[in-house]
Amino acid sequence: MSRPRTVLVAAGLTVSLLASGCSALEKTLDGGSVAGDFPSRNVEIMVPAAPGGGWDLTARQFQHVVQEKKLLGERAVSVVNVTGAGGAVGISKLVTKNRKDPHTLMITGLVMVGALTLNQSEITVSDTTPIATLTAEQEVLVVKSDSPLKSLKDLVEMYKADPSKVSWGGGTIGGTDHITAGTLVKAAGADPSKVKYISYSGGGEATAAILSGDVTVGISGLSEFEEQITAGKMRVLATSGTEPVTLNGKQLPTMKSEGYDAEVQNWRAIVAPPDVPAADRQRLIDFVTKVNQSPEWAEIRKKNGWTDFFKTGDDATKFIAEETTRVQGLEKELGIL
Amino acid sequence: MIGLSVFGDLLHGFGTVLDPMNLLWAILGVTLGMLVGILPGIGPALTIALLLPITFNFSDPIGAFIMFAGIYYGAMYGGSTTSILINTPGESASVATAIEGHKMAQKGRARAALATAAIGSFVAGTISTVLLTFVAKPIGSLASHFQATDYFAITLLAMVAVTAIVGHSLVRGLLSLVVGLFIGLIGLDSLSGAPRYTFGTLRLLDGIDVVIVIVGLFAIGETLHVASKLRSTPERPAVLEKGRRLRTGYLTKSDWGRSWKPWLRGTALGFPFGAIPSGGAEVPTFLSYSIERRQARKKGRDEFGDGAIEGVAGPEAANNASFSGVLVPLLTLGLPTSATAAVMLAAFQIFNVQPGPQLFEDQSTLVWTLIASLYIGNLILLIMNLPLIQIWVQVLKVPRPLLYAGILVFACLGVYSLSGSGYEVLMALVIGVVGFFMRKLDFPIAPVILGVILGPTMEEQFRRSLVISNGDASVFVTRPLSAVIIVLTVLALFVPYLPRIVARIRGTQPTRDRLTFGEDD
Amino acid sequence: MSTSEEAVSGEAVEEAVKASDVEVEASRLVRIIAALVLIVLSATFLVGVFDIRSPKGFDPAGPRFFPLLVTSAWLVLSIAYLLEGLRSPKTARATDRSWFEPVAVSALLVLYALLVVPLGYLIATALLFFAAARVLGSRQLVRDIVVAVVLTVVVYIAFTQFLDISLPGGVLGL
Repeated sequence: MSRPRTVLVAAGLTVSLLASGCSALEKTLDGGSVAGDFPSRNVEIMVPAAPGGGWDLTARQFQHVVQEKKLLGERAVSVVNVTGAGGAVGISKLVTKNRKDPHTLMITGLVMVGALTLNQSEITVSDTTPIATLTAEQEVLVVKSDSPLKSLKDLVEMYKADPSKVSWGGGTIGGTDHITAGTLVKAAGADPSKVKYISYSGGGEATAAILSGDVTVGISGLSEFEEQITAGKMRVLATSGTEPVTLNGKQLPTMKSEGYDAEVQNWRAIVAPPDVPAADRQRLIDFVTKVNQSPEWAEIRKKNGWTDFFKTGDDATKFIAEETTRVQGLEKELGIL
Repeated sequence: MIGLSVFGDLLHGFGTVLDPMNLLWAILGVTLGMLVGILPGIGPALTIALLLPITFNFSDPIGAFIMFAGIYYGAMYGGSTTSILINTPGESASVATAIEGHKMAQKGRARAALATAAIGSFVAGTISTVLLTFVAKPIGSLASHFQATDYFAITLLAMVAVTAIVGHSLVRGLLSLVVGLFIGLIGLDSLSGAPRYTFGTLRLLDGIDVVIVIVGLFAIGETLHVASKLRSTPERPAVLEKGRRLRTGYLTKSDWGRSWKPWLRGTALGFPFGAIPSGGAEVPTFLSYSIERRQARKKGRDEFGDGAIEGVAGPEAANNASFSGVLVPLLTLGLPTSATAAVMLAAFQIFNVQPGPQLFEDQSTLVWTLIASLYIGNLILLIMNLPLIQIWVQVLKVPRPLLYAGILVFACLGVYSLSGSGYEVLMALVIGVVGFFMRKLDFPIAPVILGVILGPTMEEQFRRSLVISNGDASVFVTRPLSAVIIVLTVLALFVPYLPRIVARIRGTQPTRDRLTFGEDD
Repeated sequence: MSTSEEAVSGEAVEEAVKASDVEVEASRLVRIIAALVLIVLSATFLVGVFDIRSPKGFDPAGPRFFPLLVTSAWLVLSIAYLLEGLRSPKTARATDRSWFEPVAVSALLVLYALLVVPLGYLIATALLFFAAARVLGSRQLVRDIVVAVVLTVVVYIAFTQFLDISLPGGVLGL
């Protein structure tokens, strides 16, 4: 809402209408990217989803920290939403239109890996230049508080006895929640293809379905159900991460602590287009590391219930490749691929 | 003594809102909401999403939420304004308003249409906020009892009950509806992940956004239609009835008489529909339209299709009342039941406020301030808008080429900002061409929107019910709530034919021989 | 229009009502062609149901059931519409409707969709407005240019600066 800036732009606009023709032409012919000297212009973070979701929040909080700390000096960061097909539209734009350009970054995560595999997309997250994984969010399995299921074991036993009696409610097909269900069932030695998974759009719809008793068990990010858990309307069976989570002074069980060798982290990462020059890639890694180390970012993580999941460069690349293979295998076993 | 504590809390809330700074946010919100909401394709949800970043700099969430309430009411009213004046509703909730509202404007009654919309919005907004104030908690818990079968039954009932929008011809009306249902099928099937009618393109995997359908059918379709008539209909000066005094709100005595009942009925529909998950604003607006039409016919005064003020008053009230309804499950359960509510939820979370059962205890000041700001937002909207009507109607005086060129520019902008690519503009154009031919061939437009909105919900809930029951179709009748709604649906379907059936049984000649959907033909 | 208050609306209103009521009843031929198009489309989509990936075939809980219902209903209704068209009287109305303007406007929109990113929002949109206004019959060159430029610049600044929506900068390199 800065007035001076607006006026400035207005003035600049009229001038540039005439003056910038020359350099603009040059730039178009150049393919629009100036490689080798990040940051040589403003940086754009693409959110491959609509405003309001986890990726969007990550990008906007990231932007906030960069602006606040002036981590790019005079250069600004803008956030652009490119919606479509669980991120498939966004990533295909990044991969085909922004090659080599270190000034266009994209937020991605496990959800995109799941969606791309399910859509049998030719482009995968591994086609990008991973800069760093940033955060991870815990998944949580809950039941309605008056459910007869008291522990994760009860749930698994019920499933083993008759899979058709258990309906699992969560987000999109092949997404993190579905993957969590599959991972658990597989770790328990049962048949994942019998999982009766019912997808809901967004946590709100799933919450309603759990509270109304439509589904036996609900799976989503911890933050989605936190309020209901605190209010005593839902009971936690397990969380999905390695480290146990403490909620309202009580330590929640994990799938591992309940005796199932299963772990799912809803990780989010920041990636650059393919073929970014090595020097720029390093500068980007340094830049993202600076954000990650800032106290502001730590505060944001804490506020949103995200755990630090920082891996950079080759580590991130390797991790993303492993996740892709794992998700692909699991989706096959769930019978949705 | 619960009532007293509510009053105390609410008074406290008013105390906070009436702080000059907060009042300023409310006014700013209404203004911004109206300016952005007027653009075709940018409805309340998108407006809030767009304006959300502005509030990032607020240190105090209260100011931000006061502004949101203002933005919402402003955006909603902005949408109605364009529906009425130039037949380009910006979002699905004002489609019903466009049907009669634009006819009124064509007859020179734009001021009255805008006034009944503004006053109706105010009445409905105020009543429903009162309801929100006192019954939020009991109604809220009700919402969590609805199961998939009940949702299915409700969408079925809605689909049958709103047949009045089908228009003059049953065949053409149903064709429109079916095309809408088909558009709703396009994209990844949410329950199985299978792509349907995506023709191998990535772009169609998410389906076609209802906003694109609305902008295409209305804004672009209308422009093409007008373009084709340019040569045969010379530009005529804008027709406007003599302006009435502001004191009567531009409405004649008979307008008031014809509006107040639809306002109340609209409120009665909007609030509960907003409160149930997967309700939202569309169904009650269409329902309200249908009911007003039926009421008008009962009284033998059927101006519908020709600019009936009831057809504006009812849906506008329903539209506004549904927002307070939507807030019920959002605030008490943390359940967003509409796109706008989902954006509001995101906004809450940015300020680290988690709506849900604990909210009224944990964030009492914030909640009551928000509720108080709804009252104020409503009032500001009314105060600002009655005088502004004089300015809005000037839109009708803009020379036709400039007006429609402008509509094209804003339609493209709205569609473009959805995804940031020219692709959506092309899609809207294709749908616009369809809308053009629908106008030429006299197909009603509203059923398409209804199909796009209700179809996917109906299918989803139907299939979820069946998956949960392991394929046992009896679930739809064994659950009491669903069974009752389905019986109502069957009644709604057959009641219009009862006189005819009775006549047949008696062996007398039925009054009409052709089946129409309770329609004059 | 039954009450006396409404009667004061005057002659201008009555004129307007008459003018707006001249909605075209499309000619019989156009209706039959439309019906045939609808039949072809619905039949194609009906066949397309079989291409939908469905492990459960036509199970009501699977992804094929609703498409089957919808496309069948569409086909049946299209046939009904065709019959209606064939039965209608052959009063071919002289169409005083022009095809040039709608086609031209559509073409403009296609161009706009293709050019908005490479040319940039400002140039593409100003051109769209200007060209559309001309096609729609405006004959005041200066006014059209001024309105096109001012409107576009205002929209651009409002959206990029105030609402933080990124619009393509294009050749202006903004």
